[in-house]
Amino acid sequence: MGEVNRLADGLLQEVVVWVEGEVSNLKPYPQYLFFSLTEEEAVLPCVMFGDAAKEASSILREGMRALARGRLGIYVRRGQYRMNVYQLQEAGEGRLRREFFRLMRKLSAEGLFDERLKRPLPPYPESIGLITSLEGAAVRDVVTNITRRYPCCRLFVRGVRVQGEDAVGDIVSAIELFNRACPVDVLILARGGGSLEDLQPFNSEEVVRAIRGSSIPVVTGVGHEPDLTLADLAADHRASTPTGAAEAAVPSTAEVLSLLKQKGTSLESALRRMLHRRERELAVMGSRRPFRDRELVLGEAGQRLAEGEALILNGMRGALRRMGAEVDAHARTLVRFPRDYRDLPRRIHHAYERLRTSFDSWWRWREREQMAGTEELHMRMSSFLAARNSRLELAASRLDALSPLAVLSRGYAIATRRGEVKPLRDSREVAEGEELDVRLHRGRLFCEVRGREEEAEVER
Amino acid sequence: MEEITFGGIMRRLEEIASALEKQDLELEEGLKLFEEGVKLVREARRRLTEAGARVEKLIGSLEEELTTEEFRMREEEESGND
Repeated sequence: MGEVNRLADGLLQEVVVWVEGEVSNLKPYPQYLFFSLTEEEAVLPCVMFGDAAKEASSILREGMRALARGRLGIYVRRGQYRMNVYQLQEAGEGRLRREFFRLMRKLSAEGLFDERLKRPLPPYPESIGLITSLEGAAVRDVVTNITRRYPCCRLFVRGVRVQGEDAVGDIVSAIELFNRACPVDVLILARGGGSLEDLQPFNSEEVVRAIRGSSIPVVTGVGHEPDLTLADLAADHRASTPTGAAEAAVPSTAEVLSLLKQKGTSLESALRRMLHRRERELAVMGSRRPFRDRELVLGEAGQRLAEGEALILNGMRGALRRMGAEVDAHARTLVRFPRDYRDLPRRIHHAYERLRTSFDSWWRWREREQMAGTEELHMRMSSFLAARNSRLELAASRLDALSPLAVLSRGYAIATRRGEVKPLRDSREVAEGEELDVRLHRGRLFCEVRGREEEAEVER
Repeated sequence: MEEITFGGIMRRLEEIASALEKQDLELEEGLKLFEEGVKLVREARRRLTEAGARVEKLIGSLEEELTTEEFRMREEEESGND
């Protein structure tokens, strides 16, 4: 029997293989180590000896995946088929995960993931660089989202391999390329979801260092929500998906437009507040009324000044109110038809000019009136008195001139029939023998008519 | 107006808004600022609404020649739409 088993063992020893499987039936002994590698229904018994066994026992755990290299053979005494393993390492996800944490600790100790190194993303980027595979959903997600959200920026796409041996080199040189030849405002490094192995390039030291060495801020969007890579830890901003990275890199146009609308409105209200401040200042000026006392002294003239002042102040207040209303109306227009308000600043400027002109002339008028007031009143009073005096004199002289007594003083006389007041004008009015009264400048005469002459004879 | 970046416009608008709130601001100065602000808002709107999306593909390398060409998504090429 030993002969046969040794023969079979000799034949099998020719076969050296790498196998990967799940570790089970782990039995460690001081000098050797038994375990099985299983894969679906098949089981491969394994044995390790010496230092290799000692080293492996520190790594091997029940249920883990291991990658083993060894020679097939037969345990002659029991006729048992097995693999004599002389090289063993943790395989698959487990190994990658271990490597991930090892590298994370190392790079973190160097400070590469420090929060203080993270730069803010520009709020309104003019240009964006996208580093990703040209195939697959990631490139489509990022391009679609950026062009839809914020079409006013330029997007440069650099195609790279995102898995396999060449991926790390591609990604590193793409980051370098943008930094040296295409200075965009922000870089997006994106990849769709995948296994830990697929994401391996994004967990490489080279990519982490390239991200931290980039003078352009980097946003990562790698894999799906729970996937976290070292590239994510190194990036200035980490989004959990490519779409998320696009949303982080650019603002939404609709939001920026509504922000602009807000800014327009706040400009309007700042201007309005400024105008109201000025209005209050004018009101204060107007309430200092230097005429108040003079009104008492000057009576009507002062009253007139005060009324003029009030009229002008009211006019100005009205003008300010109209300006305010105009601004309000335009602010409302702005919200609905932003294009319609390009004239507004000019119109407000004109309104202000009008207001200022009227204010200036009011002020000049006020000063002039204040000085002239007393003098004017005085002049008016004296001319009134002078006019009244001369009127009296004139009236008196007229009165004198018209009085019949004045005529008598010049030597004329008035004749009436006795007992009558009507002066005689014609000699034919009286007969001979009639008695007349004759009034002289001083005194009267009582006379009798002795004879008379008619007009023609007198003229002659 | 072309040489100022969009971010520059937004920063200037902030400055103008806070300058307009100053108590000792001259009316004419305020109106000038207001006018500038209105122009900036208009320019920003124009940029946001008038620009179409530009997507380019970077081809070549640093060592050799680096050029760009219009980027088209694979699916669009295949389906022949757009």
